[in-house]
Amino acid sequence: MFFPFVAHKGDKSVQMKNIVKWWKTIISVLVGAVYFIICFFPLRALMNYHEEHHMFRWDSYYLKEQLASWEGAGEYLLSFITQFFYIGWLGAVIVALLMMGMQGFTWWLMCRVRLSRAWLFPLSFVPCALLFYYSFVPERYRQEAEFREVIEYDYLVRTQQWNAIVNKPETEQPATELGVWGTNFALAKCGQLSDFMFFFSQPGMNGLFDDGQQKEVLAYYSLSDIFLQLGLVNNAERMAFDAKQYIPQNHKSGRLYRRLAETNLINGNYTVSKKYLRILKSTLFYGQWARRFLEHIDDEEYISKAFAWQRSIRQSSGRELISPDKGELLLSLVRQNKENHLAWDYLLAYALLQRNLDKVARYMQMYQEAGYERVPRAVQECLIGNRLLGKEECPHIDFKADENVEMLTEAYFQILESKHDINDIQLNEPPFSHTYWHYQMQAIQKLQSP
Amino acid sequence: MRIRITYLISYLFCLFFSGCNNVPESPEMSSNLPCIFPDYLGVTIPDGIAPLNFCIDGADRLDVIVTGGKEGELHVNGDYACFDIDDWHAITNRNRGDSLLVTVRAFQDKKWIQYKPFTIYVSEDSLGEWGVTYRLIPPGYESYGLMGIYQRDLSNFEETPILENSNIDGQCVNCHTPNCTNPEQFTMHVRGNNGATVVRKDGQLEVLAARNEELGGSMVYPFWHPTGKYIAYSTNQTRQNFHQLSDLRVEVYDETSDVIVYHVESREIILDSIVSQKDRLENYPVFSPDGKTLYYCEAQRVDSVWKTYQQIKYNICRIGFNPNTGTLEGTVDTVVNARSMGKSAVMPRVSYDGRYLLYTLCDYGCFPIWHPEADLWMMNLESGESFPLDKANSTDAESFHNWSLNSRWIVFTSRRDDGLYTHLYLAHIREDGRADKAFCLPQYNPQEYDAETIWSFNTPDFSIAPICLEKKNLYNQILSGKTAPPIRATKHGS
Repeated sequence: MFFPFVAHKGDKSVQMKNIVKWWKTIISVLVGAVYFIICFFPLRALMNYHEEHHMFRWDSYYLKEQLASWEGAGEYLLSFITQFFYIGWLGAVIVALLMMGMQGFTWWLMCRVRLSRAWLFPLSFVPCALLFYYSFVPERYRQEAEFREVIEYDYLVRTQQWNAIVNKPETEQPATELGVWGTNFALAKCGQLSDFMFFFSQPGMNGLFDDGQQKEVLAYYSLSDIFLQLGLVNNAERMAFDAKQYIPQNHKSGRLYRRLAETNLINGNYTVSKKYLRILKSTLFYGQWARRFLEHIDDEEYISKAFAWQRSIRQSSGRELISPDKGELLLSLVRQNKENHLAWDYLLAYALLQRNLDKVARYMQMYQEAGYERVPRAVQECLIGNRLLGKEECPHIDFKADENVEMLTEAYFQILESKHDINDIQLNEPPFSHTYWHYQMQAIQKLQSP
Repeated sequence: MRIRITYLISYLFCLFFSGCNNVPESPEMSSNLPCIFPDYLGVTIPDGIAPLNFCIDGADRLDVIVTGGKEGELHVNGDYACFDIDDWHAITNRNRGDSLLVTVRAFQDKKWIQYKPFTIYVSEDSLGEWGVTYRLIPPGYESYGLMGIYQRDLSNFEETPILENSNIDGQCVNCHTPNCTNPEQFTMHVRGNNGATVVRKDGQLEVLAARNEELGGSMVYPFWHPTGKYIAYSTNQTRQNFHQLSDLRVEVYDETSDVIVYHVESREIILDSIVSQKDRLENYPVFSPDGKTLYYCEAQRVDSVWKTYQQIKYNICRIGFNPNTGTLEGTVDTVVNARSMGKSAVMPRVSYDGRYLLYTLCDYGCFPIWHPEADLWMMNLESGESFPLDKANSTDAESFHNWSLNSRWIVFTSRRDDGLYTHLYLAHIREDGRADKAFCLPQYNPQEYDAETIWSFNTPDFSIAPICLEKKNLYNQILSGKTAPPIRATKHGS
């Protein structure tokens, strides 16, 4: 019988008997459900982390390569399971089933050695719980809040959950570089970076991205996403390539291989791209995408159409090595394509983070010349504040300030003038703590402190 | 009854395989040459080289007949052309100085196609080497992950590691250089926390401190003096930058670089101001085969290199070397004036017979591996004539070349296959210094090699015998961080 404890209506004693008879199964299923819930909700990002550090291939070469050693055989099995984590609910179901299976096996073993008394039944859950805790949840994840945050933001950026990032409560403001980059990128994706960036803690000029060496391997993953969407294809490729080398035990990553295939397709390096596509084609969740492009690898029109936007915002300007200045880099992006909204938002935000009035005004003027009429909120705060301080911006920007922004900025300076203290509680609480001038004053204070 | 069943099984077996079209029957004749990987069409090989197995992208099956110009025939049929090693050696040996005619029939798009036959030339000149050594590394940017130095028997497909960085905490290993292809003497460099310069002479290993305060850098790009008494190194402050907006990837350049000579026995570094000038960049030193001349590259040093890196152009120079004293003598002579051509000439290598100078010519800089325009050039040292090795070059970067001991073969790296991953190529050099068409280092399974190789081969050199190392001892020495006492330095010149 498929549902053994379901009896006829009204026959309560039979129902009870069945429940008693099947209580172990019921408990196992309930515990399995708990595993499912844990994996699907609080540990969803961790599942993504595991998935992007493994790549299982359904081909003989991979099988041969992995089964050449005992460790390889173990890796083969592990990669087989983790590939399903690509789809959150499926991964959670598989983990739950595995845990239930392991618990059932443990109980079967206990029965074989005559440890089958009912009160010993809960002990059969211990080995799989320990295995889950110590193998599925990495030590760093258990110990370091920052590592948990990095995994969380990497997942949110990868799955493009911009609203989930932007709407995080104030108590959960990012404490890591990747958290800040992810938040700023999410704001830019919502078209609000140079409006609301100071609603979030901003660390300074590296608050948008840093293309140097990263402390966290996952930062390379997310930065690759950010660079690609900004139009910095070479940087996106570099981040993916470097991340690939940092994956422990020479594991491969479907996410990174797909990125490398993409960047090479965009840059027209079809032979290299083919190499990655061939590897990806025998994976379960990246295979279809890879096969589609492999089929059309010689069809320039198809590839141009598929990556039309990326190619239009991609900057390609001959041989010169660009200045390490991020502003110059972003400037070249908006010059390449005036419709690159992300790059515009980043350019204005970068000038604000630099606290460089001349650049804010200059970039704003370019922004208006490109056909954008709106003056973002943080830019307004900057320009209004400078006027109040008696500094005329150069070049001059004509704009009608939002009444609220004007009032808020004026109020900020009135309080500052009356209290003569930038650490005044009122100035460090919302709404004033969410303004450009709060960021500016704090940055100046930091510079002046010994 | 049992016999009948056996017959039935055999019949079904034959029926099954004949259904798979394993054997070409009345193939469609094509006037085109086959598009094989690796490209072995018209290449010149030495006899005794590993079989030139190849595949055709999109072909389900190949049927290949190799006919010797003098004698012999091979016939293979499979997913790709895979020749038996002994049969291949026999046919190349019997056709030395002649050619092999290769007829390819491929099962493509549900039909057999017979392509126009192509030729493989078997040179009279033997290779005279056991194999090659090289580094395998992912062609990355700032990270490298796993890498190692490997050796490969050129008569078959056997590859063995010499040193893998997984055994030394993932440190970078590079610049492995034997003396005149003799593995008994070699030097290499380890970069990282326990960085070291390893020197092996007469079977004895010496692990030196990688950096020397008096040098201000580590000892790289080595070249042995033929007597084994000296090693010329350069000591460089190397930087790299990334092309964010152009079609290129990486730019590697030196902020400073000098040439030094190291006396192996006394562990003494001989510095000479003539090859370590403050306003100049000296690099890639090599000795002539008679040991009496030191060749190197030099360029004018510039400030803010990342802005002006395209202006750095190297010439190849030479100066006399006294093997008795280890000192430089005479005046500097410019051998290749690449600057006058608006180019940069780097990585000089004199043939062991002393007749030719092989170098890389590129538009600028000292690291041509990332420059698609980089080509191999040859200079006849008697006539002074320079010419590109057209048949060895491609439209992508060629560099990191070395000579075989008999000066008839060269090994080098090329990005020609996909533009990113460098592969090893070998080319025959004729009496007049011109190259025959180069061939890719033979691979057992070309399909796997094409699809799965995500490594770059670099710094290859020939080796007359396999290197036998006490690896554990070397790993322990490197990991212990115990390096030889500081090296004394003797300065010459002003």
